[in-house]
Amino acid sequence: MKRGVILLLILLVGLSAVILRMPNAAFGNSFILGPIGEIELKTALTDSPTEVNLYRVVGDESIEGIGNTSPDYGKVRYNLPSEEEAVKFAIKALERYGGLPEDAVLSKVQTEYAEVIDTDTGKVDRKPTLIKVTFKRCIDEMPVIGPGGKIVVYIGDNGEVVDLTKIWRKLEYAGKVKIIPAKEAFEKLVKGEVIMKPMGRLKLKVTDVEVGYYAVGFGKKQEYYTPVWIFHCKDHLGNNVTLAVKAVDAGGEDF
Amino acid sequence: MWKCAILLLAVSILPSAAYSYSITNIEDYTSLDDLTPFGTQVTEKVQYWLGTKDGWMQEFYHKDSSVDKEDFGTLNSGWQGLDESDFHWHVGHGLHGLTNDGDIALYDYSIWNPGRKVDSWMVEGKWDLNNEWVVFQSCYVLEDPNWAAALKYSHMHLGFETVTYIDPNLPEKFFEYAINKNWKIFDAYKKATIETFGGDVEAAVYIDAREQINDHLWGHGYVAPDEYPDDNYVYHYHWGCE
Repeated sequence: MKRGVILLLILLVGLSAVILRMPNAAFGNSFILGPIGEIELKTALTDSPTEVNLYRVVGDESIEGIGNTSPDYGKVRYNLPSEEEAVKFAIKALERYGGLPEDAVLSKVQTEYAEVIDTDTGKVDRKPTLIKVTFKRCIDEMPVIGPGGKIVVYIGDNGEVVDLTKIWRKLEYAGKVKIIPAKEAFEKLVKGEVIMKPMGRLKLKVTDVEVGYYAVGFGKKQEYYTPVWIFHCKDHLGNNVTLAVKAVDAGGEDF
Repeated sequence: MWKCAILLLAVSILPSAAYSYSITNIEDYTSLDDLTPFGTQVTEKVQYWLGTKDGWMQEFYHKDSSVDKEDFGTLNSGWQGLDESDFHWHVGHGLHGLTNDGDIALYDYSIWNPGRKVDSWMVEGKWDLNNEWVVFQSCYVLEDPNWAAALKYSHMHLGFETVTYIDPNLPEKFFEYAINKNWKIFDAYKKATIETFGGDVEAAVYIDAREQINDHLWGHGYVAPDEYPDDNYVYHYHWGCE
């Protein structure tokens, strides 16, 4: 009896493994289980580009903040400008620090709130705290992902600049470099060979794949902006998840 | 008023060793993807900043198979896990899906062993002993708002509502702001998350009482009193790290 149950279990596990790796007839795609979790490819993998420009880091133009005191991010503020005006205040604020870089693009403008939750009734009362204006870096029309390559400006009452973070490295063109095909990068993704390891078992649909660069955050050294295949995914809640796989077979070089 | 004065005096003269921290680190899993050696690197950052640099006492450090449900303050008598220390940092996988709504995975969690997790209902109203601040460096855990119900007398629960990534830079930046620059805990955490992650990470904080948003780490500025009696209001902040 026991042996029967064990055999049945082995059969079930084997079948599950086969089914999970089989093309899904309904979508024409496949679910694959890997260390990151369940990955479903919902887009085509392109053959191009085969090479990208390489950029060496030759300096740092980062700004870690505008003062030493706590910015009071959570303070409720009732005199915030409009989001459109907040962008103008942010650009104006950057003039003091060399202006908005040429390769910066406006990425997001968002009002943030403090939420008071009544746990008995579930009622939520929202009060505005700040407007966040984010600029991201774009190189050769390709996105820069990761914590680097961004400017975040927090705008408070009447356009006051509450905080400013700029993680921006000075780059120099360093020639062209061959990159691996998207298909190979996807295989690495499935094996969990990503630049940043997620802290959960994910259920992802890959909706878009493109080449870009990965920039590290403050306090980390980076010799080159890392060319990466970027996998834009949606998780089971519909949230964006961006995973990056190194696009250059570096052979010991720090790409 | 005189109570406040005594409290301020006590805070200013108490040696750092009077404050305590604890860490749970799960990086070696039987079924989920391992997070080695990054969980240990996160641990070393917390130990350096709170222990070596600021002189706090380590209440406990449990790793992998030695981490169990009780470490998260599931008991209200006897040894009470994270509730024994002022500050707790957990690093490890979070769970969210069909059968999980923002849970902590223990080292041997799997679909065959689904009970090996910590769910928010296990700690409802139970963080009421010594703890003030808890960080969960895990995916999705604060997607479940019921974790806020743990904050009986604890002040603040910091974590993530979406995916996040294992990165020792988070504690490094957090403590740099909270200890070196004496920033408020909330501000230090928010700044650290923005400097560490990209746009797909949504960080979150639950605070028990309005005034506690002004909390600093012990010895680095004002700390609001515990909320007494505990009420039914919590304060929720969340932001994208783009």
